[in-house]
Amino acid sequence: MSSYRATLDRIWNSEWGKTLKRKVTLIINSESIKLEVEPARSLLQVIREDLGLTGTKAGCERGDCGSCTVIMNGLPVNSCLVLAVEAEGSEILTIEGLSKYGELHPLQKEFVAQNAIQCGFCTPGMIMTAKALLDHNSRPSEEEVRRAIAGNFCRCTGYDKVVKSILAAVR
Amino acid sequence: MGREEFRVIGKKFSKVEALEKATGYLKYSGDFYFPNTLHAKILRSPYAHARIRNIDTRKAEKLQGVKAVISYKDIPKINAMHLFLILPSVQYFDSFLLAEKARHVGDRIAAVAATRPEIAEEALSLVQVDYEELPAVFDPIEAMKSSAPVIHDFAKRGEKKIEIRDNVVASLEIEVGDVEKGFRESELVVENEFRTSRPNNAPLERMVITCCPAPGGRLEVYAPAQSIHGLRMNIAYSLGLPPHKINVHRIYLGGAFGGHIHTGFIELICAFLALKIGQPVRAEKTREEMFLAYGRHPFVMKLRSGVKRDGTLMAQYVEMLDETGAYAFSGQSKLTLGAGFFMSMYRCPNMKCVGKTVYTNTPPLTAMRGAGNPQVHFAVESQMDIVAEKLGMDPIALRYKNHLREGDTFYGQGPDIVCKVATCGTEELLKRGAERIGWENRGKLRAGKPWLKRGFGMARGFHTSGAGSPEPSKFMMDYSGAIVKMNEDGTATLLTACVDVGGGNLSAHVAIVAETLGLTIEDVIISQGDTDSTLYDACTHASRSTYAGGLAVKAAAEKVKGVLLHWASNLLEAPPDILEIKDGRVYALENPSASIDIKDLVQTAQYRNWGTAVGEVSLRPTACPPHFTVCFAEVEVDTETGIVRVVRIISGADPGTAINMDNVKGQLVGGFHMGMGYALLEDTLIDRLSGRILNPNFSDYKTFTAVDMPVLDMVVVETFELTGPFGAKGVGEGATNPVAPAIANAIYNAIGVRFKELPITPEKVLKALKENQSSVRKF
Repeated sequence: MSSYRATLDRIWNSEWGKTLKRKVTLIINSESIKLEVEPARSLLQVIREDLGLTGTKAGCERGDCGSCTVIMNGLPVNSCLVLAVEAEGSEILTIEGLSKYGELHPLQKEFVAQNAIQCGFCTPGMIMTAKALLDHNSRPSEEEVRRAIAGNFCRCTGYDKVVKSILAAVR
Repeated sequence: MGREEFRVIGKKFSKVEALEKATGYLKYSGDFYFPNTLHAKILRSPYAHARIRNIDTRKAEKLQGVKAVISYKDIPKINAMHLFLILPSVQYFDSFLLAEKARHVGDRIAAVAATRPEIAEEALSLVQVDYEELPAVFDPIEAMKSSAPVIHDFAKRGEKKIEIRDNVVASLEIEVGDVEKGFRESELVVENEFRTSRPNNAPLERMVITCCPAPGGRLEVYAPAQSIHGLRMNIAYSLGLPPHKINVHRIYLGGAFGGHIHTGFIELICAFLALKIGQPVRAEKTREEMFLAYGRHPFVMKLRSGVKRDGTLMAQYVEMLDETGAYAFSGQSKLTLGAGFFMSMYRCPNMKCVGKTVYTNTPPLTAMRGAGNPQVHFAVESQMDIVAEKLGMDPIALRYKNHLREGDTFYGQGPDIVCKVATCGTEELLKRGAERIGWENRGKLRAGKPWLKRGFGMARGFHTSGAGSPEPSKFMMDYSGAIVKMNEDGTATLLTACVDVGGGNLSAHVAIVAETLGLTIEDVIISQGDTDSTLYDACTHASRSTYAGGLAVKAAAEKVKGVLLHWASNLLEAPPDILEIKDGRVYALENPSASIDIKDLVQTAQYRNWGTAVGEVSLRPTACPPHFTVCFAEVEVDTETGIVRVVRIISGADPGTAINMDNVKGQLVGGFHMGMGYALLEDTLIDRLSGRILNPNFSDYKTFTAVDMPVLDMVVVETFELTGPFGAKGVGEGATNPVAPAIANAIYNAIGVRFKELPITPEKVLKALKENQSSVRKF
């Protein structure tokens, strides 16, 4: 017996089905990548499962926790709430794209040096949110930093070292 | 060796895995992907209490993409083992992999493994279950009445069947001295009832378990667990397999806070499916399912305290009701711990604790940071505040008079675990906390507007560093194994089963090895290991891993040091007892120029076929020295909205030697954040009609964000705990214990309303202000 979903699964993999999948071009960490995705897949799923970039985390998949934050066309977004097809032609920066050839971004350096990382699960999301903030506002006040990361949940650190690291990276 | 002489301990260093975490490189449980993996989903009961009259999985099985559908008919008739650490002969058993009777909304009824998660979910909807709905009970006091529905007819303790009456899983009664006499001799007796809430551990990492079977029945397991040996034991027992068939890989966790010191059902179901099908199976919890598991046991505590006019505590008596949910995942541990913690709060010649652990038709609860101690602290430290006021005494002075100090008997992790306090920084912490907050201004605080009221409150407390005791425990496997070996380039590799859930214990262990062997932090490498390669480790819990885990690591490193000195003595032609290691060299004490680089030493040993230097140790700690903490809070209550804003906090701890001060302070802030949530905001809300959790997501389960945090000042008083590695104790749970009562006491100081129930929400504040009552709940 076949279900609606199982039928769809067969269809996606058929010759005809491959024409139903949407072709998207994503510019991930400066690299242009052509993919074929089912319309319902989120950007988060594509980043993690299709591209193997597991640095971006799935904490809730409903936009509550911020652990899936990536920078899309210069703005921080919850990638769990962005459809992959919506991101057609967009420039996406993930945590993996932040350090080039082993050279860390100042934010990463400060997080490490200040011991702002406990379990580290929120860290990629925090750093991407912070980068987006600093790209728009190069000298934020402490309050502005706190507001910016208010959508990034952290259970371990109580936030204060995270805030200190972001302020220290302001240069 | 004095602290000033340390080369690594106490110096600023980054955690060893920080770089991997900052670059997104480090893999958590959900980041392991294997080819050919199936996805498992669990069918969950919509009813809080229902018998399964019939279950038909045939339609689900026929769905294309489905590889297996299982119900209680298909699973081994072996009780599921949930606890870590506890000897199987005394563990509580009250469940199987899948239920014949649903006991809470969300209880596991059936499971599916399919090629895609969406197909698995669709298959769940095709499983036909005929439920016979039963009356359910959601309140522990109601659950004990003779008219209450019976949740479990019986359970087992080890092999022994125990009858469950009135839904009571376990009872406890313990007395020291004679409380009746103590109350008679008291000049003031105060009695109050306190109720705590049901916060969720809410680690940010969503649990994923992946089980990969190999031909011949071996299973590789990747899952978040605070003990890989504990998880292996539980899976093996529950599936009727010998432990060596299961290999659990050690990974870093994205937070746990006690949530992963038990095995739930999903790990067992996933393992069973993988072995049955012969393909890797991945079971991923949604955030809703993360809220269905874990949580701090709600306690109802009737506390009676008797004191003399001068504040001397004469007697304390507590009746403790511990709610455990639908299954005894914790056994009676929270009750036993609660009793031990209660008896260790203060010097008191007469103490009695009577308690019960009760089932309700709510999701099973586990340990959460403090495991019985936050509840006890809330009751005892609120009561001390009440007593101080009635005596006309300063609350801090009352603590000075009665606090547990050097030489006092300490009951630690349960009344059977008895030792003596050796180091105590409480007085210094109280002094500095009072100074920093400006305690003399208490009662004279001004806020900006007339409807804003400010107040100061304080609380003191502690938590253990592990669960060690002079005599080996009869019910717990409490030892840590460690292996240290030298590499031919003069670096060391550390191999333990100790899990780092974020606190930085592995980095502390690296520092301990480095300090012992005269190496730098960068020169000590951690090998991740698995249950095949590592020695048993008790579990990362009870704030034990720096202290107890560290002792094992230090001992293993000392053995390596012995080998190195022995080799060096051959090369330097000097007896080993006049040799020392420092700064990467072995040198003779009387003649420092006679020395050899560690790198040259080990390389020579290898070239000459002397061997590889290695040290291995299994160590059981014989004490669980308390780390003491304090919390001073300034709050501002908005009497128009009921919102309590925490303005300023002084958080203090005596962690013995702070191996890494940043990490100690990180625990203080993190522990405070959880404590503030416990005091003011966090609670799992359960619908009283259906038993459904109403807020199983981060929108509705409120937690404090970066904008809500107060100004934080931290005080660390380093004592030197001789029984600890380089003088260190724990700190993780003590950091959270005194926070909720400090905030509750500050609220009382601000608006004159005493809240004896958590969380202290704006609604409760407004209601109380309106009614101008001195307590919110009356029984």
